[in-house]
Amino acid sequence: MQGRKHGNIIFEHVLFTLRGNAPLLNPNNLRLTVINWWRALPIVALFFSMAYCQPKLLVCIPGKQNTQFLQKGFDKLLGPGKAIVIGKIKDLEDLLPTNPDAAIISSGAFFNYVSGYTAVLVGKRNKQAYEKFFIVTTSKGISKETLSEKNIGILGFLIKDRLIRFVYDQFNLTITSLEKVNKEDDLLTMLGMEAADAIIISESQYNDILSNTKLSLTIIAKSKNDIGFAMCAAKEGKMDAGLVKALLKAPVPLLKELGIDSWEKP
Amino acid sequence: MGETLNMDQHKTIRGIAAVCCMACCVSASPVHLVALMPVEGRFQTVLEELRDQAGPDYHIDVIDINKNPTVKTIANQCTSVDAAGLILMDTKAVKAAFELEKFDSSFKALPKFVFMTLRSELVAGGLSNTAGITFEVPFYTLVTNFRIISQKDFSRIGIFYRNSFARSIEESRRLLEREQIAILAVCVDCDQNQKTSIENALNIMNASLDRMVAKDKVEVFIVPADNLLVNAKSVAEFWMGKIKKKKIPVIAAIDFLASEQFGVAVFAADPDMTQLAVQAANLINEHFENKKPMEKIGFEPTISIKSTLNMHIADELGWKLKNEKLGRITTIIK
Repeated sequence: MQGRKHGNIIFEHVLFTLRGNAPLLNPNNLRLTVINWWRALPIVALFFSMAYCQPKLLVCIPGKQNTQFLQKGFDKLLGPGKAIVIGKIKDLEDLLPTNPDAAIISSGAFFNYVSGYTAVLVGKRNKQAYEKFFIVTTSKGISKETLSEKNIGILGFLIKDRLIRFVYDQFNLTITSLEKVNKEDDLLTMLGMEAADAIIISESQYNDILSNTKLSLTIIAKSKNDIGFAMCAAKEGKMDAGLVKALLKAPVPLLKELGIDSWEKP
Repeated sequence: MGETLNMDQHKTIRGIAAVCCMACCVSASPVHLVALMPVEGRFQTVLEELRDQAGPDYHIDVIDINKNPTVKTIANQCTSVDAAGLILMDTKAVKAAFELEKFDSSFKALPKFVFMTLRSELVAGGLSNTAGITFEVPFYTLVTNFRIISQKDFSRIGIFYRNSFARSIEESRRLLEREQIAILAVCVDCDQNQKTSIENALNIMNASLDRMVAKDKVEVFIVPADNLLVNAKSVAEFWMGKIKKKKIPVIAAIDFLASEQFGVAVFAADPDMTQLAVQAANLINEHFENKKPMEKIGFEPTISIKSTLNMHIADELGWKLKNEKLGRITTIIK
């Protein structure tokens, strides 16, 4: 009983320390704590693992459904536990506050809407680092002017509010009926099944779709800016030199899964 | 005087804070939904993802429909949480919603979202204020996804169907025409003089096959998820027998038909449950956030699939595949 009690004292102390308001430990409790140190070991280990074993890298490239492949690839490249691959952008956003020092690999669009991060490596494909986004439809009766009342399919590369902002910033359109999907293959299905009147896709996704369909596609709007492919960024651009070096040596299959051919320093 | 004033100020501030707090609580209170569903397996998967996608703006209570709750229990639960809508998963849940509307007509006004229910539009027909997602993998999705991975560019699809699926066949025909694919369909129970039975359906399938292949030039067959067309007898005699001999690929809207045990289909698909929840969350948002009426939302098809490719069968048939496109397949049986 006593051991459990003093284990709890240590645990509470750890919690208070984390909160920055640790009470002074009673010397009597301290003596007992020393006797029962082994009981508190798992908690202390957890504390140290929280402090020292945080991932160095968070990876989130929505749309490909290849998180397992990416996770294996980054484990091999950086060592187990060094990178966490996340499938959904919302989950990445949830992890940011608890991993402020981790570098992030995500789409260029993501970093346009997250403050404090500076690109350390820029992904390139066919020697390009950026591409346009298009609004594409199969219906002749749809124009940019009528889009605001229509159902528009889009990949969830940003959380919902930011997707709405992205569409406004890039196409000067306020669209609230954005139908988010997590798989890029589903965008073509949405158009083909008439579940969406139009879809928003990157130029490379558009080219991929063209090879998968005989639907007659029309581009009705192009984004104002070019948007980056996968990028690696860190808070104020401060990133572990070893990590940068390792990422620059990433094998081609891993880069392909990120949608790029190579990394380059900006 | 000063102290009294301070006390009053305190009270005023506290009052304002309380009002603000109440206002915040009222404006931030989540939309309560009640889900009638079997609390098991893939239904749970969809519920969990739906909760995650919908976020803190929604609170979903669950009633396990497999525990056969009384209509009164369901009504009380909906009233006690002031439910803004019902989520109905499975036919049993839709039936319970009919009972609920009969029990108290005020429930007719409640929006009802129907997910994971076979032939949902038909089953929920007559229920007020409904929208949802049809649960079957659409033929359009099945066919186009198989064409994407195939080296051969086919354009003629054969299908057997029962009369009650006629509308769905016509819709698929219209959608696939845009992809320059024709559907050659044979109804197995349209003859009013014949009883609908597995034997009669099989007779029609056997009698039509040669014509479909020789005259109509069918290049791929679809197996619909229908026990009149897929059963022990038809699998053994027709799908594994006659069709295999003709070396024509079969694609199925039920994934186990492409499994190693069955080996009927070269390619098959099932709805992707996680993405189904994303689609469901979109529908719920459309109604509660974008204020879109339920009748305008209506029923939409399942968009996302999990696909299975049986490479043994592809090899047997000599059906060549585009290796660079195989990354989109969920399960490849080698």
